[in-house]
Amino acid sequence: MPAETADKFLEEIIMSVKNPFSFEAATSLRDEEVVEWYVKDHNLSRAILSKRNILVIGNRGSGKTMMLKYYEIVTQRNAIERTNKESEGKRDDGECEYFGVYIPCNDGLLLKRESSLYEDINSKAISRHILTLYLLYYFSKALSRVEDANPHVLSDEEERSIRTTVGLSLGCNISDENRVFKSISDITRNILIDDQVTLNNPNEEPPFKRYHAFETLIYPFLAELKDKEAFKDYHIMLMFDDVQYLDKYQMRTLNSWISIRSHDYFSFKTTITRKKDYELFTLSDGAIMEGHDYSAILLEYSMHYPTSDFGKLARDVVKKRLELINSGSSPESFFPMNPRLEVELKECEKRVKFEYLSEHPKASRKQVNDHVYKYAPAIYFRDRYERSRGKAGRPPYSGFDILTYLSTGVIRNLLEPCFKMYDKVLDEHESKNGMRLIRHGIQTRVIQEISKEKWQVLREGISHLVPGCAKAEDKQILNLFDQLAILFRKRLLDPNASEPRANSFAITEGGLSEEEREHLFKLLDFAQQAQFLYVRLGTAKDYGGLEEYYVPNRMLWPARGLDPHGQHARIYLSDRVLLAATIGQKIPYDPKDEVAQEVLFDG
Amino acid sequence: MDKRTLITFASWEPRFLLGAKRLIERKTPIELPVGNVIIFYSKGLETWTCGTRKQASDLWEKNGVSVKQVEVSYEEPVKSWKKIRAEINGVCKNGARVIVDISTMPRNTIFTIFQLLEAYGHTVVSVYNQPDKYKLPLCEDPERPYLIFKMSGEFDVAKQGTVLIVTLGFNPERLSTLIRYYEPVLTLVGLQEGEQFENQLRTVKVYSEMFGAQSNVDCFDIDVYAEGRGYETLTEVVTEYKSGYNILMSSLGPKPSVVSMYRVYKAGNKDVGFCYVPMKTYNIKYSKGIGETLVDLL
Repeated sequence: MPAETADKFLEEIIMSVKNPFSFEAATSLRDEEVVEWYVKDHNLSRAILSKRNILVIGNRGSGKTMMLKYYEIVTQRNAIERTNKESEGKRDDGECEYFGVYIPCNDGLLLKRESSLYEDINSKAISRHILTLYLLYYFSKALSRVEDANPHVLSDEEERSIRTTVGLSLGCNISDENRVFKSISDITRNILIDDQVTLNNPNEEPPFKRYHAFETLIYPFLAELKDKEAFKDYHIMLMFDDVQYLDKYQMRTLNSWISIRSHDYFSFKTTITRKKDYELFTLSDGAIMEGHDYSAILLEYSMHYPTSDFGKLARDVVKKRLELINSGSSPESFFPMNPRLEVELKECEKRVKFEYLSEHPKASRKQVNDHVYKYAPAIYFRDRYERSRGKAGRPPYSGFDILTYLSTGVIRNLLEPCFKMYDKVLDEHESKNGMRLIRHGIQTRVIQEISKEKWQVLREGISHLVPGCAKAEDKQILNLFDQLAILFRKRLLDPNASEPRANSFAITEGGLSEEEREHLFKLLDFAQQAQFLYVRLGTAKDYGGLEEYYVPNRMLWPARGLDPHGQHARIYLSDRVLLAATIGQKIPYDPKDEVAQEVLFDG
Repeated sequence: MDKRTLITFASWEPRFLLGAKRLIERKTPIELPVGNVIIFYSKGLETWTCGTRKQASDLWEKNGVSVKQVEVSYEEPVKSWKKIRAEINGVCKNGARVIVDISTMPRNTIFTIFQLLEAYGHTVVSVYNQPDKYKLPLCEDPERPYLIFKMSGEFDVAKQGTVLIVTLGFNPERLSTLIRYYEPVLTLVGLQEGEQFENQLRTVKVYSEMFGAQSNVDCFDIDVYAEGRGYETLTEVVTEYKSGYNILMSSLGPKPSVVSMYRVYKAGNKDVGFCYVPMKTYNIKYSKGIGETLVDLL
């Protein structure tokens, strides 16, 4: 084969290989991809497949949608399998099964604002009405999948009964031209369109003659299902994704539904990006309470160890993706660490251990290990800095553990560099016979590229990414991160720093006025929305309670030569100092005065 | 003689006042005289417009035309929509002929006024005065987008997602904001043809740099300054995607694209939703002078 043809052939083969680290939105994945790629977290699984109402909190990219889509697909497939077996008389063990219904909340239909043009009482009724119909559409559509796979899942009489009940609730005849659930989803779809036509008419007021509600539409439908042999043993999970998109009264409607606790046939699983974006009031001005009405789960992790929950999850995610390309490599061998980095780190560990034992000959093994964990990497960074003074000299960031730390506990942040590294190898035709690893040099290059891109985004400003953020605030946010990087570097290079590698911070009160404090927290909020900053909950330094602390996206640090690991510690900065940093003032640092705390139990 | 109502929106831009002079002096293709004027103005920018509002009012009143100034606030969208509806309902008699000077009017207001006027049976003439020169940026800092009241479309839950169709202008950040918020499966960007106002540099090049590499963003050529204002092009694009997708439209490009978009809406596309990105910061020196006047019967 001539070289040119061979190259072309090779290129075609390479182009046909799909990047296994794709991090597309879960809604754009095929069902098969969702099932293949999703990595089950057993604790999460137990919470989702339960009769409790669950609120899952996690930033964009933390895997909320993937999780809900996964449970929708697998539970519906199980239901199809089970009803098929039952119709063949093979099985009826009476055990509870779960049936998930995925309901996206970012649909344009739910983003309409016409309801706010009416008086409060009508406004509430319209929001509730639309959300109820929207739920019925997705619910009946999910059930129609079971019906499509097994047309005899319901007897004629059972179908008639459902048609009559739902028809009465909707105030219309449910035709029997199609199977029952298909008919219900079709008719609901049409009602939703008709109602929008009515709502858009500038002359009409008030808009509807009949308003639907959970109690009058969904309850009777659920009661019908529970009464049917094929569905009586199910627990229905109504899974609302991204509920922060809902308007005030839609949120309150959903909360009112969540507050209904006298049932075990259905529950609500809801996801949200940040708790502060969601209000907990109900339509009757009550409120739902965590622990009482629902349980909250954080899908973000304050990750400091490879053995932490997120470390394990990250490993499982990458392992699964590698299996898809039959790589035969473990995550660690696919993303090997630069051997020199490994050797130098080990040497630092030995040196630190030796020095510590010379000074503390009676130290326990734990004390020695703790000291080595805290200081050895810092000394590596310090040595490297000394050696390369005046040159670029950034550490050769590489290795699976580093990638995990750089993700800051968000799955999409983990997959992005992996995706780019894999692409780069394909571009450079480095792997001709199946990829076994990504060379550490490529890892370092990609990590640096992404890190520099992040700073570039900050320099260009996040105002075009975050609604409400003004261009004048772009510079302030850049200043803040810049000053944090300077502070973290000083601390890392300071032999007297107590927690030299800490790169997260909590905020203390420094006497700012209410207005100034509001401005600072607004900037932090914008940075969070652009995913440059994450908020975590950890144990407070006083009284062992909980406190919020901030973790800057660790992908920022390689471009500044910092350690992305971050150490199991955080520092305390006053609001005054942080506000001053937003106008470019240095964050004062004196190891004697500084409050830094090693934190326990944050995971 | 039958007289017309003029609805306009106060601005600090010179063309606000110069446009009024043109109408008074009948230097536009509009033959019938103006009988009364409604000047809407924005709360929050009222100090920027108080001088020009007074000058415009004096000018009209000197020519025997009654003027009413109405404040609207975009921080209170419900109240503002109701105010606009009340004005249109009250001041313009049913079936009257109405001129809407869209030159300095925010696009969400234009859509609302067009829709309400037509709903009450008025004949609408749109007037657009180009500036002589632009100085960028007009505005900065996009806020959260929203669907325009009563023109928010008819979303079909069974469709495969949303296609966003926009015309692009000098504020590409507005498009980024729309894409991030509505997460369309596909975005189609109408790029104005021609060289006017450094269009190739300010729009076409910026589009390539910011969106050219995105796989779910594509572009098409449009000429909103030509007769028809690009209506046929927009209709073709909408028709191509409408059966499978919900359509969202937004006019971010040259102002006359509001006219063509409204015509698309009117011509049997009321299921298309219209969205708007408000901006936080405006530039007081945005434009200079007055250029050509474009007149359209809706």
